[in-house]
Amino acid sequence: MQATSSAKAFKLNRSLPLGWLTVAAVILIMFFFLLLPVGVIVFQAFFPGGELSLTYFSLLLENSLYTDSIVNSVNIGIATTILATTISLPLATINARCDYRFKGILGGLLLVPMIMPPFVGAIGMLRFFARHGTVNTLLLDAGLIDTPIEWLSASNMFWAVVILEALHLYPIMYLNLTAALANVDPSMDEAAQTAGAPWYRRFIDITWPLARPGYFAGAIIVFIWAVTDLGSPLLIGYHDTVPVQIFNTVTDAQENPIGYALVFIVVVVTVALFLISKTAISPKKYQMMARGHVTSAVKKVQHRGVLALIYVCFLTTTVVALIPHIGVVLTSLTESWFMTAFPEQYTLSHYKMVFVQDLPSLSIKNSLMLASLATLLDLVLGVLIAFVVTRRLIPFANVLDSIAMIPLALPGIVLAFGYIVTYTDTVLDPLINPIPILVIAYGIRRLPFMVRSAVAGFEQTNVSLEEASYIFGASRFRTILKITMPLITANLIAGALLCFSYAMLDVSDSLILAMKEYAYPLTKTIYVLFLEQESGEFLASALGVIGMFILSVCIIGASLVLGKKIGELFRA
Amino acid sequence: MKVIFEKISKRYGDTYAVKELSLQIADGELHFFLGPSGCGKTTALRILAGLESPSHGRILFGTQDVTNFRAVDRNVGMVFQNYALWPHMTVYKNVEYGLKIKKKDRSEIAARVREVLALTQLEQFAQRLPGQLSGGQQQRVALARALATTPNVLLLDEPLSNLDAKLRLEMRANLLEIHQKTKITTVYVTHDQKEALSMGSSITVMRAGEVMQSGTPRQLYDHPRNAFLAGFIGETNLMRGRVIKKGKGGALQLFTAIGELDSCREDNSAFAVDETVLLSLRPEAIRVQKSEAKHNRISLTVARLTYLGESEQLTLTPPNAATPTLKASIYSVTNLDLEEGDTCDFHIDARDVQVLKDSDSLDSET
Repeated sequence: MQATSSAKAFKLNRSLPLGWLTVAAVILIMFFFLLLPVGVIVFQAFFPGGELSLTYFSLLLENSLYTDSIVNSVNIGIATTILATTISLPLATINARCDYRFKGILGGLLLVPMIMPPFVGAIGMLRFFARHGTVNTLLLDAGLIDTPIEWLSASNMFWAVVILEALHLYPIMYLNLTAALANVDPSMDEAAQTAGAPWYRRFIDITWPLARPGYFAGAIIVFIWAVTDLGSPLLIGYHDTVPVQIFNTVTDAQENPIGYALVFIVVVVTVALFLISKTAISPKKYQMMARGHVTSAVKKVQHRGVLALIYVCFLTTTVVALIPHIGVVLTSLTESWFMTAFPEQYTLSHYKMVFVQDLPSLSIKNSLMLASLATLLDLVLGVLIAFVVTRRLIPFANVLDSIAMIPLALPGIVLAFGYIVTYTDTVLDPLINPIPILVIAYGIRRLPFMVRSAVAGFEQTNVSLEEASYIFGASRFRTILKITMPLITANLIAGALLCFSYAMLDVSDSLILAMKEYAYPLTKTIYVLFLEQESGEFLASALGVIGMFILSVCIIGASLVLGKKIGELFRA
Repeated sequence: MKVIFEKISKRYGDTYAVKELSLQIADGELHFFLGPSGCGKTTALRILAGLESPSHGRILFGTQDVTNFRAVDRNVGMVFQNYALWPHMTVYKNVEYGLKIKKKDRSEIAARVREVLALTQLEQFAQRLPGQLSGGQQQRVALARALATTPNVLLLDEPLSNLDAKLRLEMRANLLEIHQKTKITTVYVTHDQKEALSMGSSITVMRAGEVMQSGTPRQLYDHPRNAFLAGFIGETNLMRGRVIKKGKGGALQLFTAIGELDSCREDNSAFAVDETVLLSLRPEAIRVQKSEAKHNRISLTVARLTYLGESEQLTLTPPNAATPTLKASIYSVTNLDLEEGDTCDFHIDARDVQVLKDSDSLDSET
């Protein structure tokens, strides 16, 4: 009797509709804020005025501005991916294979450039590479050149964007590569050693093919983010790119239909890459055997020369990647800086102005509020999705997982554009009140971080711990709250910090959706300040530094909590 | 190829993984490194492979010093414990890889791959990926791959530990057959003493980085050098005793907890009267008394009887219960008619009473 009644209670718990309710809620949210906006764009692109027509596409292809933009953007993506790979591959190889003093610190420093959106860095870069900027002044003073070099000439803007993107995105590549390389069983390489293969053959034939799925997972994110980043090309002035063109059509989306076609093309590219990555990655057939238990691929480095070389590699990369940041910091402290290599006088007055003036101080509050609300949204959605997915509460749970991961690859400009065309003249119209739609946009786009973190947590937590609670008749909700959640707090904190950081960093949603000044977040304010006033550049930099500070705290916190696993959050 | 370890040591910080290992393995031998986990056997193998470099000492292949050769240059074949098959390459590609690296002729490569695949009975799996094979098949692929380049030395790191018991027996026979065909000097690492005893032409038993004893399986079983060896290889009953009389030709009279015992073995000459020693009695040496001999006759009570099919395992207690119990193993064909609780006379042949130097290991190992 006892046994049957507890079995009954257990069954009762299992049949609680939480799984289906969650799924229904999540699917509704995903439908309205992910699929529907994209669907509307696709529909509008093909059915202008309700009839099938390719007018928009022919308009797009006839105009060389748009075709050039597409080519430019794809080139930015390719060049950025190659550059980011070149930077991170040696560093990832070193850290996956070697152990040495200060490894943790050096690896952590590499991630520091992530604390600032690349377009803010552009302000610093402009300072250094302007006609009368730091670099030219130094070169002139040294007598190496006679006339200033036009670093940022029209033809060089492309590279300026690429470098900014690569310096911002290489940490994602680095994290993915390190994880991918470390996951290759060291005995694979040893087997090739005993077969007589020299190191380069081993890398080409064995290590690389096995690490490639992990690499692609990172490379695709880097490519998509570089192609669709709006801020950097906008600030550098490289306007012949897809994101900038989309941005320009947003304000008159009803009149200028080209936006639909451009966004559609971005959607197609994104989806294609996403699918390629999913099929190229599917590592199932490779997951076969237990790892060798004795060996460790990590070799302790003690040779001083090698050690010095490693330090130089890591520190140089970090310092170079921080040049834009340094530029921003210097600019924010500048009293006067004209025709000299570095500012002649320093001041803290810009920071004071940030808190005195209405717009900058308001934008800090706005960003903190928007990012917090979005994080809260992610926390609820993410935990529910992760629970349903890991505990297989419904059939096709992994479909739900895949849907929740889409926003990682879906560019912000696409989503923002979709929200505008879908929700104009509704309660969510950003022209009426941008705050709700901004929270949703921030939240949806960072949901993957939360889902990944929570899934990792649930996977580490044995189901039997929950079942032990069901046996006593506890409900599923109570069990999650009392048993599981406390056990995965670390994961949730880390995921939340990442959601928060990236919401704070958000550029495209902010620039496009924050249509009312009272709702301007940090990034939009930086952009507006930079454009508007005479001294806006200084104020914008000060605001950028404050943003950097907030984000450093968050990211350091996340990496402390998550440790090495932080890399898993950036996989498509 | 003859393989020589010359005072090989491997140190990690203050601890020795391998300490002063000196050993000669004759050409064509199937040599075992046997020991509990963490004894340094795998490290010794990896040093031989060139995957680790020794802190001290030399490795010789024949007369050539290969200590400073990397794995890449040693021409060894190795079967890893987890097989380390390259999951993205087919069986054929896995086997072919080493030959391609050595830049052999294309036709020569194809012929050799076919040859080793036939030897390991893998022809029909050539185009499969490792993930599509069973454990036993994967194990054979690993072996085929290691053999393909006709290595100087074949190294096997617990090659059967991931297989189930039945498959393991099958693979033992398989490996022996292949070794007999190829005659490649083979070094085999295992913690399974039955594997080593049944397959090895010679065995080195290691413990905590040091060689305990090296020899043929028979030498190790019949003439263990210490209590650890006696207990590690096969089962045994260990007990303390004192030499009370020393005779000619290795004859000793010993006083033990279960009574007086005679031992008559060549190894016994090292012991002196009054010395405290350890006695090792193999379970199969304890027999039910049939003859009327007075010596080595002990009266014991059957405390437990476990029927194992081919044999019966007895747990025996001497009349005075404070002393240790003895394990005995008796073939079922002998008509026993014993039941639990019975007391009966048992006999141990004086040639089966192994006498060992006394050590603390009686308490720590049993």
